[in-house]
Amino acid sequence: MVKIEFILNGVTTRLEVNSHETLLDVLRYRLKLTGTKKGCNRGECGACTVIMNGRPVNACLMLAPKADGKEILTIEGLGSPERLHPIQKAFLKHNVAQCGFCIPGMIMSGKALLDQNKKPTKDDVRQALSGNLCRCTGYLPIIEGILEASGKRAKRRSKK
Amino acid sequence: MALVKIKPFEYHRPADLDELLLLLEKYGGEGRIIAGGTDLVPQFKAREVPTPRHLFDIENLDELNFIGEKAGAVRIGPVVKHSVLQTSAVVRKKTPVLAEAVGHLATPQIRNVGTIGGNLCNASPCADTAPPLMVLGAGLKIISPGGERIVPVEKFFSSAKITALNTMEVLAEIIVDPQPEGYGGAFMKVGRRAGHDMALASGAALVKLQKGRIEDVRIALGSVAPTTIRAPKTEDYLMGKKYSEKNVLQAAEIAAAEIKPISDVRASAEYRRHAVRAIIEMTLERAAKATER
Amino acid sequence: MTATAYKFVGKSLPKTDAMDKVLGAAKYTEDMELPGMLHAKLLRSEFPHARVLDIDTRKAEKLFGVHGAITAKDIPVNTFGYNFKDQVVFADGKVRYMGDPLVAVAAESEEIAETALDLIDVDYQVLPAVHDPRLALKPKAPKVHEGGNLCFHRKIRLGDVNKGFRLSDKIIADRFTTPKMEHCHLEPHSGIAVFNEQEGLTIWTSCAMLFNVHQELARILQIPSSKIRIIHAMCGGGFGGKNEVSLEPYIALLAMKTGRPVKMTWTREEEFKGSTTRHSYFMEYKTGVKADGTLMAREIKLISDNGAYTQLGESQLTKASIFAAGPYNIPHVKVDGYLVFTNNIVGGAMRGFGVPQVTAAVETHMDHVAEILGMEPLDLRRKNAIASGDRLVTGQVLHNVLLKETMHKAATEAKWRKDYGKETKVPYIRRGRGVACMLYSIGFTEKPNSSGAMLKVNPDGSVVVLVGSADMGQGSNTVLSQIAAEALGVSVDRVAIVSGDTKTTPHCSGTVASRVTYATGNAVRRAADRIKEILFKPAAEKLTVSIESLEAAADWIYVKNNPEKRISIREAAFTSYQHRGEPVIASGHFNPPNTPLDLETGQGDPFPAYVSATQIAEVEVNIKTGLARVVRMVAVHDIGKAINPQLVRGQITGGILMGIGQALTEEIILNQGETQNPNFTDYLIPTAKDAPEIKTFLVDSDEPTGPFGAKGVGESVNIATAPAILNAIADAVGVRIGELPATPERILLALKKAP
Repeated sequence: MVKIEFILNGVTTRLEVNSHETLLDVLRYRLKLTGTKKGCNRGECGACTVIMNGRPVNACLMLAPKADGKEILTIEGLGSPERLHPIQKAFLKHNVAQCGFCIPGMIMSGKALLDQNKKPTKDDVRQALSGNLCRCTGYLPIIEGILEASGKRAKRRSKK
Repeated sequence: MALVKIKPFEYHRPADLDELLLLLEKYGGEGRIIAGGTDLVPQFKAREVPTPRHLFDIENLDELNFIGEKAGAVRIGPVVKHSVLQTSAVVRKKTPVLAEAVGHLATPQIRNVGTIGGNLCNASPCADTAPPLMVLGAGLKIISPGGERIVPVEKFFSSAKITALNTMEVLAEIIVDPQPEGYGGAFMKVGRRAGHDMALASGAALVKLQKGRIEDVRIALGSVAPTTIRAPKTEDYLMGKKYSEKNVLQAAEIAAAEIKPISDVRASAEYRRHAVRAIIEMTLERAAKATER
Repeated sequence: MTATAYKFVGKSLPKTDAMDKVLGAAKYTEDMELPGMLHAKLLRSEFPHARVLDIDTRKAEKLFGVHGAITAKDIPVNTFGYNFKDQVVFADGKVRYMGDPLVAVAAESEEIAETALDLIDVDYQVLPAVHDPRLALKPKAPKVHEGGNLCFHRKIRLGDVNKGFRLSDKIIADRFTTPKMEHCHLEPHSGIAVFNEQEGLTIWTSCAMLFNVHQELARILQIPSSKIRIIHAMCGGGFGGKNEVSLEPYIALLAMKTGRPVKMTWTREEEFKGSTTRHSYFMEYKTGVKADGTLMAREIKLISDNGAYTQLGESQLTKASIFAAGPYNIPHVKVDGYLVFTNNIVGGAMRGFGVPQVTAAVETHMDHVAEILGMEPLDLRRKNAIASGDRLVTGQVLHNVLLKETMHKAATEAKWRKDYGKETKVPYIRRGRGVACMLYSIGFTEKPNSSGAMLKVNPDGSVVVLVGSADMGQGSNTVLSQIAAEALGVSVDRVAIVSGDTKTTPHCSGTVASRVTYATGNAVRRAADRIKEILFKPAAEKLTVSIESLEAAADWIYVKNNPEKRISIREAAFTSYQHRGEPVIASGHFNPPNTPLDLETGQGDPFPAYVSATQIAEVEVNIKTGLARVVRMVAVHDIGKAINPQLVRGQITGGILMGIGQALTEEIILNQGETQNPNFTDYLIPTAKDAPEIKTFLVDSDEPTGPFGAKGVGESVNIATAPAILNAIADAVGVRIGELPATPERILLALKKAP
């Protein structure tokens, strides 16, 4: 067992973890933070994306001891119904989430982008989301939602 | 079938390089070094690599995490993350083709954790950092309890997934020759979709033109042999010749013939030869244009 | 009431589960934990075809933390299957494909369960296997099942194709091949089972056909289905991959054996190796056409690789056969569809159920026909396109088919035919455009498929809707709430919905076949009509008018030609309960009418309603690498009325991306029955960087048989996409790719071979 200390969603957290567990295991099964999802367990789908020291990373590839000394943000630490992050607001407004399984990862990747780049282009957003797979939405509503959250009005594409 | 959980191991986080060397001496044969883990962790899960008894985590070793310039060379620590390389002013200015290559590597999440040392030591034939280092010229400093040595990048890869490192050694520094004045470079990766992919074939080219003639050309190709390789016959053909479409097309033919690609689930050998033709044509075109700047 | 007067239908109202999903608070099955829960894993076959002489689980059972290891000898009834009961829960004496489960183990942790699997010894006697369905049809081929490898033969016979060919000026033949594909829903299969003597069995799992699985499980376990409760959990996508029995029997048996809750979640690798897939097809098309473009005859042979067990294969083949000739008036049609067993991974249902495959073939074939005739591809289609009043190849007279309108609008919006230039700024990147059309259906193929709905109006006038449908993420709960609100005249924020629970909600045949808005929506409407009968009684009494003069809207019941005279729904409900002693509850059901097809001629009325679409793709192809990229799509759909336009748009953009995967990158690569690419690194689905610009449009369509004019949309969205893209590639670089996916390798090698 390895003792680790890290900041999780703004709170200093001390845990004893197995060295061979991943951060995803720790979040989901020890800490019961199930918002971060396991889609493939091999770092290929992005459903497990969390923000570590300001950057999006795959929690399923992160051996738990490596969380020591880091600052980690999960979807649970991002917003609440009273104080939604602009991306969450945009996603609600445009009914972006279908099955919703990719959404926490998408939001974290989107937030990390907006924290670094206040006025991303559509290509910047595509690039930032390139490690997050979605099977339901076709990505465009997600991209438009993030652009809207950045303050840019995305061009509406659908007409009846 | 693959595992969900990795088998248990003993985790070590050496505080400094000396401690790492002591650990390597003590447990070398039964241990592995891990930096970001983006290659090793899925390999442990898939049982492609047996989980070792000991894991030495070097991710936080400051002594191995630096980008600087010394004695005219760009010196990069092995645990520098790809995303840091991609945006580093020194790397973009002095070794631009390396910055370009890491920008194509996997996904943002992987680039934020994976390291250049990890990419090299994983020694995949598709390693994205290898072709740029080969065309720029790089020496890899390897240290062990017994001392240190510098291995040119061409000699670092013994075979697919096998490096020149023994179990008691650690890659400590990547010393890269900066792109010389008057040269232009380009990197290219051929994949199966517009989104990211493992390279079916990849390549880096550096070229210097003098009055429309190729004064120097260096080409390295990935995914078309057990290791990343230079393309000596192609380079020999181009040296001294006029930079023209005809000569580039002929060079592409020579390159397609001098590689040893395999057919696998991703692509056939025949396609990989075509991909290399495309890489030669497209990287030389961009590299030549870049010399005009 | 006219469409524009609707308050809730036709509006993009927020999804019922949207807030939880953006907060990461939505609980999927894998997120659920029960006290004392065990974890279960499956040991699957190492060979595609073998006798199983012995399974030794003793070492596994002795491992500390293991609570049970069960096999075929522990199960009362071992078979299941929607069309035929030929699939086994546990391989019993024989394995027929590499995903066939042999043992299920439950342990304290996933880690221990995995370790236990390594301790199980299986004694196999390897048998010769067959992997190519064409070879499987030959007399000496190894038999997957005793009855032989031809599972089913569907015939469609219209007119006389030989006569039709004689009357033709040109005859064009093409072959087309499509591979097995995987759904890749982001949430893997996951289920939890709990058993106690009093309550019986409770199972949480995301399952689209939970009532069917419910009955299958009762049969498998030999207990009354009233003692089994399947609750559809929050679902991370299905696309047809979560229809049939999958992990339910294993967790049920282990829960009953151990007395503890048991959870099983499949790995992504298991999804690629052991879950159901889209059927692969070998297709042969022969078309006879007059010089002026009139289609005279079409002869089609389809060979569909069903894998080791029937699953939903027979219905799938029938549907493919029905739509194989394309949405055109052709006087002479002959279709022979062959569903074949092999020792490959099992074919089930995947979005479109055989029709994406045949549409890819027929719509690329149509472009080839146009080329031979020197005709513009859309003109050829317009000339022959079916419309309302025309007949399907099965003889059914169609109504409300607006295919031609979708063609017209797509051509306008995509500026089809305007000079757009095949050249781009880069000499080795060529641009091309392609069009494809499609026709699809609503409801099950040939069989009754009812949906029920119950409505309860509470004494305060708020409403609970109970439906058996499963919200897979597409938003059926939201849409049905909107329909209920509109039909009852109650504000949608006073409507709650309970769905997908075999114990408490009425039967639903399945959230499949694009049928829920239509069938369950109609059931909700019928229930709403009966609710109004109940509520109008106290209203009529209080307002002293006849029941016939009343209508309900905006939480009020009012007199139609004197709306000021009214009573709130709340008051009417309260009065019904408290003064009349009549609870305000009612149910309704709807069964989409269909008739089975004649086995010799394929004639019949298979579906109650049809949807259509035209999609136009613009691609750029790098002629040095062969890489094709979709730059733009225009999609025009006839889906009837859109109950929730945003959700419809979401379906279309999502479906188009799935079609892009089908067109360019997705195939399960099998070698001797073993999946070579069981992960996202080598089974490539489109990423955000692969998404083109997409413009979506709906034509104004009002389905008389559908709730508020709606038909359905879920599957139609990924049917025209792949052929539009392939036709665009042909337009860009002059080669027709006759197999999916059109990978860079296939495109480049075709270019190199081209004269």
